[in-house]
Amino acid sequence: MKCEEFHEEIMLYFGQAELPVELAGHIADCESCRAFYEEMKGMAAGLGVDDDFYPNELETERFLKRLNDEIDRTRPTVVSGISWYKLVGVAASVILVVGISLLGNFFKQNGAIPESTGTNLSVLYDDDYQIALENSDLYELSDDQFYILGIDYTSKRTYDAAGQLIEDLSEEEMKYLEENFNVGDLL
Amino acid sequence: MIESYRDRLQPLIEKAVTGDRDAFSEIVRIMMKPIVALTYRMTRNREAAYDLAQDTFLAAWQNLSGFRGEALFDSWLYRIATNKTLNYLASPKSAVVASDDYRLNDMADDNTPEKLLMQKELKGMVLDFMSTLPTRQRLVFNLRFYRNLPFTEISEITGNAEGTVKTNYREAIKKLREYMKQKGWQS
Repeated sequence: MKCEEFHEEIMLYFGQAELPVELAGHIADCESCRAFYEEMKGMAAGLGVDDDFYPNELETERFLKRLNDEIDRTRPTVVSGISWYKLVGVAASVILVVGISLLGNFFKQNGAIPESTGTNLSVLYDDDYQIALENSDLYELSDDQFYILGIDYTSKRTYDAAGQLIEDLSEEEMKYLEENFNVGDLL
Repeated sequence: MIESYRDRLQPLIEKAVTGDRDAFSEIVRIMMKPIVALTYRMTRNREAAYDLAQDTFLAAWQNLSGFRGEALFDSWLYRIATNKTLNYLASPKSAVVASDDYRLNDMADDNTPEKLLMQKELKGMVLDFMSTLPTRQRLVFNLRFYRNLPFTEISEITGNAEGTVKTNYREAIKKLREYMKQKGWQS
């Protein structure tokens, strides 16, 4: 390697405490490169260290206060390792479910939705259909055997196809329903 | 020097990613000086430097859950600061006249007023010189000379090839040498 090429290499280590072994070895043997290196070293020393813009303690704390205010303003995005968009998703789902439920109640109370028409019949799955047949004292099958009579699960009452109240469900019947049927499908 | 603050940062980062604000504040205390120094040397505007530093830490907090530790944390911070600074420099608001409000850190008692004045002049000269460098050269000079980062890391921070980064640094040193000669500076 020529001295000019060494100079180019030396410049890459401008301001660095140590030189690679190959460069240091050459500098020890070459007067021209040593002089160039000394010039670089002197220039770097003259530039000083990283203290020309040094926030003091007060400025640092003021900066932190401002930063923390800004973080609070933009809402913290890391809560126990859960990212903000997941939290927003969960919150939105909860609001949606609660909102729909409240709206339903509101319309019911204002007569927009009938209390129970007895027509909220649900399609039976095969297994449920068999169970319904075996418990005909509880379920009266309609003409269309794919349906059972409407069950108002919340009022614990059963209705016939014409919407007439048949009877209140006993605790045992409720328990049976909960254990043997997908209540969501019955509603 | 780099290793010592990286050792201090590691346990704080582990806490901060779980949402620990105190740990994050401690990280800010450690990293504020180098980040503000970088943004100030790049913009030479005290207010902009603080604003960019704040934006950097705010973005770091907001994206902390996505920090996977593949890059070094300080390099990751420098990358955020670099991107924000380059965006700022490309925007019309950076055209505002740069201020000269840099100041020296508290000096040791053995510094004479003459020595302080000389150092201040020299630092002012370096800042003047840096403002003449193209943005990329200025950035590489900052990260290499003042932060002692290896070229591989600077390459990751700036998104430029290592060869390009080395060329940028070498060019900056050549220009600095010329500038110092013109100013009659002697080591």
